[in-house]
Amino acid sequence: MQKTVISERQFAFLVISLLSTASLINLPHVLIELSGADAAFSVIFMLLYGLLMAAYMVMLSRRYPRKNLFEIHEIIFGRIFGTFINVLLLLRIGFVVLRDIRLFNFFTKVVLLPRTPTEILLLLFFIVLFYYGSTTLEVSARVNELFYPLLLLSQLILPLLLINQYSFYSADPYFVQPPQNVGMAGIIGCTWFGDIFVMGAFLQMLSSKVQMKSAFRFGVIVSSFIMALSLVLMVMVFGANMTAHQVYPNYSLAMQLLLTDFLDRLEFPFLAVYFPVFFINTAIMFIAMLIGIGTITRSRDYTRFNRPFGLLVLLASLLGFRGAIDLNIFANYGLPFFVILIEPLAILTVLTGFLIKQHREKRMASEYITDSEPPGSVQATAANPEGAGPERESHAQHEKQTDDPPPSTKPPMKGWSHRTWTRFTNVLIGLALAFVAIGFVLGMDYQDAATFCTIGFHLCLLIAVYSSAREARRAKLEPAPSTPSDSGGA
Amino acid sequence: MKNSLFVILFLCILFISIASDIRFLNRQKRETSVVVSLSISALTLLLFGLWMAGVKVGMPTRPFIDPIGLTLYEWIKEMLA
Repeated sequence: MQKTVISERQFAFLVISLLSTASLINLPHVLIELSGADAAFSVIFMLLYGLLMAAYMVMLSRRYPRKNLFEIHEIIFGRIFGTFINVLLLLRIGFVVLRDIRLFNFFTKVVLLPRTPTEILLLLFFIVLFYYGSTTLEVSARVNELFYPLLLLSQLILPLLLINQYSFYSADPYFVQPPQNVGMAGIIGCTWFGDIFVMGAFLQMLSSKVQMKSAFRFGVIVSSFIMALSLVLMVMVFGANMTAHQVYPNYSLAMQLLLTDFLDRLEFPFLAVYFPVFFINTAIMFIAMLIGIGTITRSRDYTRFNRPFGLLVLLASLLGFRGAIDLNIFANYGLPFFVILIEPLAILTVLTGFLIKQHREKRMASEYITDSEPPGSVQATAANPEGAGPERESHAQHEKQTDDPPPSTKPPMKGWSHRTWTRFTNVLIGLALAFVAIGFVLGMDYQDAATFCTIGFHLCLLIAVYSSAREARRAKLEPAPSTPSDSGGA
Repeated sequence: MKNSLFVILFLCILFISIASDIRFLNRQKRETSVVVSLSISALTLLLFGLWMAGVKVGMPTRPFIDPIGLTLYEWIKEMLA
């Protein structure tokens, strides 16, 4: 396989694009349908789940630095069972690809090209996808780096542009929906944020694992913030009931933009920014699938089967859904069921396999050293399993070389360290969770307290975006600590 | 009724892909990626043929729509009511 390297910023933008692009179209109305005006609080579950998945992938990547998730599974479980886990992962990514392609297809048909046949729209989409599939992730990452900031900006200025359209009173009273409804919305949202698994195919592309952790965290937190912002905005502009009955509430929001009598139809510039980002989102998943198939079949050049596989996916997406209702049920109820059933089970299996393998390696290392070294050095090496055995030694050395930037002789930098920023972000997330919990306890009786909790929750999310950005910046500038203990933050 | 433009374009791309794989196979030694590519093309061709013939092929998304998705949807609707 070609060696591709992407920067921390590109990695973070890919994560945000993956988590927020498709979910912005289809998820909000489901969340609001389930949990009414309190839908924004369900975002905290999605945030926690995303961070958990990120921590899991960073942990595996730390242990196997130059491997992607598919290869890691094969290393942990061996050829046969590893392939079985990989097929499950491929199926999961495949379902997400089918869902997103058809979502895009229906969206385009509804808002732009109602008379163009579905097959032609899909074929045109795939012709461009073939181009991206024939390149490496680097191309998609660069295009995404170019377009995603524009989409982010458009989402951030939306509240300002819609200032004459919303009422704060549409969103209150706060915390009056049953917590189980918000929990249910959170679970469905988690399965959308579980798409972060796709990044597992690109774990080897960012050599510094501290930067990878920061990029993941930044991506997940920004995506959660954007989702919360969109949900609040929709409720304030349309009210909970109307939003729950809309198919594309985010598009309807953009349609509400009327700046003076001469500037209307402002949704089209939004679409012009949104489409390329959505396209890159699908391209990332498609490349992840190609890498997965390449790993399973041990093919050196995965771009070789880009076109035939693309055509197969095109047919599958055409035959997989009969209409928009099918797609809606699949995306918000069927696929979450599959994800809830498979994902925790697969993660637990991998973690168990990982721990067993680590334990076995530790034992073998101590046996190897008692056979070949003087007794005094046994304990020191056994404590660090990576340093045992000639293969492990070179592996650990290699990891040390590639994992983090070399310790520099620069004077210590002013301000908070990376670790302090990480802890600060964690405290903010904890506070946001506490505000939600307290809000639900007090919401029915004390609306003032509920309002305070709502403001606190959104402020925590906003500050967490800033602190995670600082965290990512410090990860880039700071020499990484020599011990692997910095994994605690994720 | 299938869209004829789609059918023609789809077959063109598929046959170009198969032809390029066979050419690659003739020129160089047998490589796994080409074999995988040809296998996927064969599967695509089979699926396409069945679709053209009007045979209903059970896609892996179906079980997550009809029995599972719909049941869950109704259960959640009842829970919310």
